[in-house]
Amino acid sequence: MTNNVKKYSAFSTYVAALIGIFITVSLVYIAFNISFEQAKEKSNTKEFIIKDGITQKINSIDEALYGMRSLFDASNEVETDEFRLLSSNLLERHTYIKSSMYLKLTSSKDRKLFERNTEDDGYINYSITEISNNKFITASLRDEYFPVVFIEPYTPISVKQLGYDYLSIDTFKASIYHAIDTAQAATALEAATSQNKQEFVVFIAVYAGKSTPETIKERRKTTTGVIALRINAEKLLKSHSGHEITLDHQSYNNASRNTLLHYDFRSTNRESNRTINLFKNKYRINTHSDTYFLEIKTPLFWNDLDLSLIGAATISGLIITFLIILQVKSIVNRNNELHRRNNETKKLVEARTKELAIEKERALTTLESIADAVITTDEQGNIDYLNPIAESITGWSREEAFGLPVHEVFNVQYEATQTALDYGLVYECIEKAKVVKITDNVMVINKNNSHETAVEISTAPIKGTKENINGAVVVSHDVSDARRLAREMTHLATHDDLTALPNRILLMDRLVQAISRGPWNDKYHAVLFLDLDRFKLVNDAHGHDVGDELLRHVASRLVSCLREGDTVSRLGGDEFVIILRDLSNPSDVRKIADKIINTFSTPFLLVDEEFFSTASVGISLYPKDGQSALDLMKKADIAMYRAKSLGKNNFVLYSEEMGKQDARELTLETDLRRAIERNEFELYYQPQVDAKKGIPIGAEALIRWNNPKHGLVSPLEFIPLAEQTGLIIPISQWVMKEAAKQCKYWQDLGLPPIRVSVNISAIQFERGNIFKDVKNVLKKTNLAPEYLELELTEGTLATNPQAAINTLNKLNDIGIKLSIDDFGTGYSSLSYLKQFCVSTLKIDRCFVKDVLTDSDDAAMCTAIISIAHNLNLHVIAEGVEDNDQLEFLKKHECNTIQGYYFSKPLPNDQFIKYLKNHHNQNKIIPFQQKS
Amino acid sequence: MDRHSYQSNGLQLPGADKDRQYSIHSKSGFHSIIIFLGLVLSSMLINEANANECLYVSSYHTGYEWNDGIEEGIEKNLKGTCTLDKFYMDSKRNPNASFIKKMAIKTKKYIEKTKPDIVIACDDNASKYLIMPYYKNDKLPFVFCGINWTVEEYGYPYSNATGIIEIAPIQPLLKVIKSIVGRVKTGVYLSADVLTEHKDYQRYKSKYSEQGINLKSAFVKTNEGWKKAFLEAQNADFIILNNNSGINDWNKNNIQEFVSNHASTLTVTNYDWMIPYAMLAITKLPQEQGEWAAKVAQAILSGEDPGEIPIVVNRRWNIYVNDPLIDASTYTLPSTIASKAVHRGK
Repeated sequence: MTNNVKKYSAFSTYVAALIGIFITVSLVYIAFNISFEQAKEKSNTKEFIIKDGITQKINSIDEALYGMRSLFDASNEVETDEFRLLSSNLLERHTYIKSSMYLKLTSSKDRKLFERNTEDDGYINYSITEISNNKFITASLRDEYFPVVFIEPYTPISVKQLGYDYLSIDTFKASIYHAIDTAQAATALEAATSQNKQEFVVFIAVYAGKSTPETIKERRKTTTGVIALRINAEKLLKSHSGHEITLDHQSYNNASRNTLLHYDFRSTNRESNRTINLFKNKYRINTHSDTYFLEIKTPLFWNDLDLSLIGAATISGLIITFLIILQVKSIVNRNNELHRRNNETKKLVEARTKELAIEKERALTTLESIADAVITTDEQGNIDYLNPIAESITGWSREEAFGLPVHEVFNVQYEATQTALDYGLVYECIEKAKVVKITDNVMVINKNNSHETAVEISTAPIKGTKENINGAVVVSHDVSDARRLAREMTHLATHDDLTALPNRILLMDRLVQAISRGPWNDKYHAVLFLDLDRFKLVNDAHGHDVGDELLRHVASRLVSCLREGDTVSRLGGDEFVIILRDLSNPSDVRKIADKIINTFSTPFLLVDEEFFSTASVGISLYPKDGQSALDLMKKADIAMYRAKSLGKNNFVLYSEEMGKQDARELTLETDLRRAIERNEFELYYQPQVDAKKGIPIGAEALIRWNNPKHGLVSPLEFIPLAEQTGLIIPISQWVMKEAAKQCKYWQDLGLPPIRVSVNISAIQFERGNIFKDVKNVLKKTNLAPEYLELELTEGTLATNPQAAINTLNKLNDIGIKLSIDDFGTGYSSLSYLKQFCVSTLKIDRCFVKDVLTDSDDAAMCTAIISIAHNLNLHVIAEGVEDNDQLEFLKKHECNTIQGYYFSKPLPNDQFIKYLKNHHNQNKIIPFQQKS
Repeated sequence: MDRHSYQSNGLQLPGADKDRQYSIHSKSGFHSIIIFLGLVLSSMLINEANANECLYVSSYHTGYEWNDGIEEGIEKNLKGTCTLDKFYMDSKRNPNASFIKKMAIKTKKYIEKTKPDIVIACDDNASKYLIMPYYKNDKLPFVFCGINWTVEEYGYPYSNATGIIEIAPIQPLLKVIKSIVGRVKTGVYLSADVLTEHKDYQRYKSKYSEQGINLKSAFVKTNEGWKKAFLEAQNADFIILNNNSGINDWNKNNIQEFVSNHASTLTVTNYDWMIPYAMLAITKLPQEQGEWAAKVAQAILSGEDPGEIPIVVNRRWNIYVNDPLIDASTYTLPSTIASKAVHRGK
């Protein structure tokens, strides 16, 4: 703000303030005057009341006097008691009457008689008195006396006045005679004491006779006495505080006024120095006989004014002043603001103009330097600008293209169809004044059709100042790299890294697509699930690199033996799935399957070595075997497993039966998983009897599964399923723990200790931790290790012999007995027998069964017994069912016999009974005999 | 002693019965009560110490009706001014001079012992046997009352004594007589034949003669004598029945019956006890004597010089009307008297 503006603003404020102050002062002045007049009015009203009150009291004095005179007029002789009664009533009502008296006129010649009579009445030493030096002394000689004969109130103090002659005082004398002469009340001040006592006396004469004499002479002649009232002037005027009051009495010769009372009541309750004015009024009070002058001065204090009115006027004035100043300041500020804004606008316009120039330069530079192609057109769609990138991708120079329709220069085509783009988008953009974007796969073809650039295009209208459209700007962003990357990403997401074949995602997509077309023209589709046989061996034996190489070769061969349009995909591992579409005849699939199987007959040359590999293929057909992609895949998988189970290196078409079997297996598997926790397993014990002594020396624990839904399920059915699913491990652990617990229980029953043997599956031996399991069982059951025997097959031990040796040694070290089950049916390697710490060989039941009729079986049995004995091993034969078999085995010194001849497998309670019986009888009881 | 009994009462007054209860419920409360009582007692003792002491000396005894009235007036008006102690000389029942003198000495000793600030002496004997011989112009102020007609024989006024004289309402009585009878010329003064009655008669006679009335006297010593004189006085305009004290065979019923049968002339009296035999009575008030004595005592105790306070006379009267006698007579009472008077006999 400039100095001039500041000065102008300050000047305006001062003027406004002066106007406001003028108004304020005017309002206060008016309010003060109103308030002053109101106070004056109040004061006048008060003074009138005071004046009326005082007038009434003065009149009351007159009335009292006249009333008392009436008593004397009415009575021949007023007694002291009568005067007392009348006066006491008067004094009570008019407190300003200090005392009432009766002064009896006594002449000088009657004085002595009067004094003597009074003395006779009891007043000893009585005499008429006067005052000298404030003491009552005998009155000096006068013609007449007016001594007090009655006085009320009658007190020890007041009675001193009895006999006091009021004529001894000149002022009283004058008034007494004035009263006598006028027959009216007369007022007198007691000169000596008037200033101090504020008292005056009013007299009225009493005449002899019943009426007032007419002449002064007669009045003087007939006067018998005077009634006097002593008035306390202070009490007369009191109760009028806050005023200065002067009461004057007009002298009887009208020459002067005697001040009866001057009293300033202001000092009693207010500070006189706070007085702002003094109202003064004079009143004349005429009684029946006298004239009084009353002057009342009423001070005006600030408190008497209506300060709220003055305050309100002051506040109103200040508010008005404030509002005027505010208004003026507001106007001044508004002017200043307008002035300032004008200046700012000018500066802003200059700055904006400069900025626009810079902005334009910056825009041009940006357009020239950005990586996007920018083309601008006029409102007709004719080109008026190309930036360098646009020149580059179109092959047109700015000069060549200027003025040409945009579609002639900017040749855009769809990538997929190679068809030209509809150029309505530029015109749509101009006509509808909206941004039009094209993010589809489009590309720009240059002038010579020699180069194409993938782009995304955005067209925006160029708006004029009046919202009209001046043209369009076409921005083309080169997305070549992005599109290539997207294509690569898509390929990676849908193809197998290793073989570059479609992966499961793309496979399922294509299968779904094929199904979605439905059976078409009586044609069908086939899903081939292919799994390499023994691929794991290749991986394990030669490493994953070789395995991967094999997979790549397999993929290549599969692709080569299929039609174009068929899909070969790799699901993972060694699993491939092939989709054959639009087959006319089911036999077609067999041909292709044969072709695939045959393609594996040629060895694969990998790392300079030939590898033979076969494949098992399962086939499902659409729509016969399923309606969904997953269904078809699942059924092809089932068929593939069937092909595996049928010997591998072949293909199998899915059938309904396979599905059912598969369903039972699935149910069984589910129930099997819950069997342990539902306590559905039970152990049966088949005794093992000492061949020579005929007493039980051991028992084989055999598992049974009693399922509420499936009934008693054969171990031949659920054990393979358990091995296949891995459930065999927890089942075997349960068997071992249960068998050991029961064995200890038998011992605790006091039965002779026998050994219990449990079968250990190959999977448990390979995958589990058999040593740890055995130790846990022994610890939990407190069974001595020599009473637990583990039965293993030759195959179990032969899978990984070294590992088996280590495990068996550890078990042997802790005292566990080990037995080779089904000896003679497998490898029967004697070298292994030597290395394994086994204690028993168990002759398989298939040799025992025909031992008496088949010489080979007999030879096998004797050979096994012989080998065992030579190796210092124990031999046990199972499946002994009759006495002849028993005798043959005993003859060849087989140590222990197990079979139905002695007992079938028994539940625990029956087995306990069996043991008790044989313990008591101490002899062999063949099963047949018992039954 | 009244004062002592008052003090002992004061000791037992506030909450004495509650002390035990407070000791049970609250020890601190008990202490507070004790402290409070202590403060009250101290305050009372201080007030006692600072208060003026007035001694009332009665020439007679308690139960003497006139003196009881005076005593009532004193007590009523001295309340709050001083502690009032009392001493009775009992000279009414023991009129023997030697007894009275002994009692005066006893009284003097009592005064010396108790050292009152002022003494109010009632009736003549107290002035005659106590004040005049022992305390004339002494420092101890005296206020006398109840002395009949004049105090000249006791040498009043003294510098230390003032009081009120008891006079009979001679003038008011005449005023009433005149208002009933109208013009009166003769009257009879009928009373016992004793010295004081003779003195009184002279006063009446003197006053009445100033107004032209011839007042004759009839002093009698017996009941029958009184009746005979009463019959003889019936010719006068009025009869003043003054004190019968001194007529030893006074028969109240006999006289009352006699009067009711033979009263035709207006009978008046100044004595209360003569009301049953008179048609009209104007009597003094004993309370007025007591009241004035108390007021003077207050003024003296406030600093007034007793020698400066004039000796005054009583001026208040009561008017009684014996209605059966008036009704049986030919007199009609003026309404001013009938309305103010106390009516007896109806």
